[in-house]
This record gives sequence, C-alpha cells and structure tokens, in this order.
Amino acid sequence: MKYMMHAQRGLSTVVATALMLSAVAVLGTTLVLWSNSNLRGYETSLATISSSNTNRINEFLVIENVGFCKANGNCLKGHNYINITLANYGNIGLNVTQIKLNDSGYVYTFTNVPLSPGKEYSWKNSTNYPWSSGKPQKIFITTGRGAIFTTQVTAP
Amino acid sequence: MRSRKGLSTVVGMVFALIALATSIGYITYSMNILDQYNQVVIAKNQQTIDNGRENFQLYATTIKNNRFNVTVINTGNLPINITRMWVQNYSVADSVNYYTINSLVSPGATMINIGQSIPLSVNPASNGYYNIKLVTTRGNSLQFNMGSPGTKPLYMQMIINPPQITSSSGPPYQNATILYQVTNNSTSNNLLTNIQPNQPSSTCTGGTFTLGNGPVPAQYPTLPSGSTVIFKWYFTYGAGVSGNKCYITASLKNGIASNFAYETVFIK
Repeated sequence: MKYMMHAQRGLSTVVATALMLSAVAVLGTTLVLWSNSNLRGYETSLATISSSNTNRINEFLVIENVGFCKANGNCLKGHNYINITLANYGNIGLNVTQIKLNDSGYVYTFTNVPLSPGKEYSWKNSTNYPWSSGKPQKIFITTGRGAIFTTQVTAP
Repeated sequence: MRSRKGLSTVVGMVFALIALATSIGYITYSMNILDQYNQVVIAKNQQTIDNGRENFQLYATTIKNNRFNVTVINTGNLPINITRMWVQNYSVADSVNYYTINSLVSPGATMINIGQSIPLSVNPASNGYYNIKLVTTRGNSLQFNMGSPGTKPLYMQMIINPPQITSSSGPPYQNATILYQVTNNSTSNNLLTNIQPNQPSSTCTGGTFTLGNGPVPAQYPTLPSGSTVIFKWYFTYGAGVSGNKCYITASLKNGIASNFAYETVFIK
C-alpha cells in the first residue's frame, strides 16, 4: 500500500513536470520561431533597402552633351529642340524614366530606356521647345531607382 | 528531483542560447550590411571629391592638315581619361557627332594632337564654326568654340602713325604706317581661326595714296578670347596739298562685312 502511494505521488510529479516541460518547450519554440521569422523579415527588408540604396548611389549617369537646334536655322525637324546625350559611366545598368526641362511643363516620361554601363542614349524633343539664346536651361534626368541627375547649360 | 531541476535548467539554457545566437546573428548581419553601405557611401564621396579635383585646361588649338589639333594640359593632381570629343558644326544642319579619344593624361602632363586621328576634315579657309567638347570618364568636360571670325562682330581699331602727314609735291614722299588691331572680345571660350585681313582701302580728297607691302604678318592661325592681334602696312602719300585728307578702312577676310576699322589721315 505504501509502495502504491509512493508510486502514484511520483507519477503525478512526473506528469506535471512533463506537462510543464512540454508547455515551456512549446512556448519557447513558438517564441523562437516567431522571433526568427520576424528577424528574417527584418533581414530581408534591410537587405532590400540597402541593396536598392547602394545601387542608386552607384548609378553614375553623365549628361554628356546638350545640343540646341533652331527652327529657322540648322534644324532638321522644323521646330526648336534640345538634343541631350546621356552616358552611363557607372558599373551598373540603369533605366531613364523621365527628362524634365527647366522646372516647367516640359516633362517627358519614358517607360523603358535601359542604359548599360559604357553606353549612351540620345534624345530630342519631338515637339517644339522654345529655348532662348543666352538663357540657362536646367535639365533633370530621373532614373528607375529614383536617382536624379541635373545639369545647367546656356543656350548659344 | 535533483535531476529534473537540472533538466529545466538545460531546457532554459537551450532556449537562451537559441535566442542569443539569433540576436547575435541578426546584429552581425545588420552590421555587415551597414558596413557595406558605408563603404559604398565612402566610395561615392571619394568619387565626388575626385570629380571636383579633376582639372584640365585648353593649352592650344589649331587646324593642322585639315584636322583639329587640340592640346590640353592636366593642371589638377589626378590623372584624367579623355574619352570623347564632341563636335557640333553650326554651319551644317543637325551636325553633332562624337569621336572616341580614350587617352590618359597624367597630372601636369600635356596631351597633344587631339583630333588629328578622328575622321573629320575641317577646312580652315571656310566659314565653318564649331563647338568642341572634350569629356572625361568622371563626367567633367572642357568646351570651346572654334571657327571663322565671321560669326560675331569683333572689336577693331586702326592707328595711323604719324596721324598727320606733311604734303610734298614730289618724291621722296613721306612714309607712314597703318596698324590694324583686332581683339577677340568674346566672353565665352571662343577661339577664332585663320585671322587674315583684307588690304586696306583708301579714299582721299587729293594726292596719291600708295600702299606698300603687307600685311605683316600675313595672318594669325588662331585668336583666343581676350587676345589681340596687330597687322601692319606701310604706305606713302604724295602730290597732295595741305588740307587734304584720306579715309582708310580695313576689315577681315571671312569677317562680317559691316565690321571694320577706319581712320582719317590729315595732310598738313
């Protein structure tokens, strides 16, 4: 009888301990999995942000030449326009998405103008752009990663 | 019981170790990412500084063998790589072309014969007017105009020495000198080529005006912005009387017709 009592008391303790251990294990594992998952998410987010910022910083677009053409002068298109040549001197490719002239309504948007490293791209206004001799022209180029390259040239 | 207490400690330790390892892993990863980003920012910063320190100037420009012959000097303390030469011919419609140069210039060194190997022929006697631009790998550029003096009016002046000539009824007549001064008053980097004057013309109220040999020199190959050139002629005046005067004008070949210098010589 004494033996039975002893054995039953031990069993409940073992069960209780097992339950406690299971609960701790489940809670601990859940906590570890949750924190791991969160940290993975943060790591991925950090890697993505860092990578996109690094790539944006590494973009090296040069507005290499800006030519002006007068409608009544040596212009083939029959209207005033600007001829902009961009060159990618960086070591990563980029996409030109927008060319803006003089903070004005002259904004030209592009869907896909990829520029590989070492390559250049020339663009002319397809419509009239009224530039004036001696007046500075501001040019803003936006890339797909959001980098903005600017320059200022004076029309001849 | 003692052994069970030990078990819970072990389980706690395992979880603690897992949490610690995960945290350390995340912190290490973040630090690595930040370090990489920092390296990129430092490299970009250095690139921007180098861009500002790159410095090269136009030393001389001529047209040799019907091709451009540009000389530049690297006045900065970084080597530069001139990649392209852009040439816009203002006389021809939509004529903007670039030519590959790809030449390194060390600090303090001079690079000569730029343009001699490109397939572009230039006639120095024509009225051509060009915009030339040299571009480096860092995106800096050196731009200048080059061409005929016939695109914009220039500052011109004529000096007759002596300003008054004594009349003489017969030889020997008095010699005098015409000094014709032409200044490139362009405010932009504008190089004029083939500066060559026409022979001066004279209109006298009496007497004989005889132009000697000249001009001396016959021409100047180039005239940079802000520079002045002087041409000289000798002339004689005779068979006139006191009170006569001569109106003398001079202009440039390939220049603007309405752009000339004049002076009046009085006979005493």
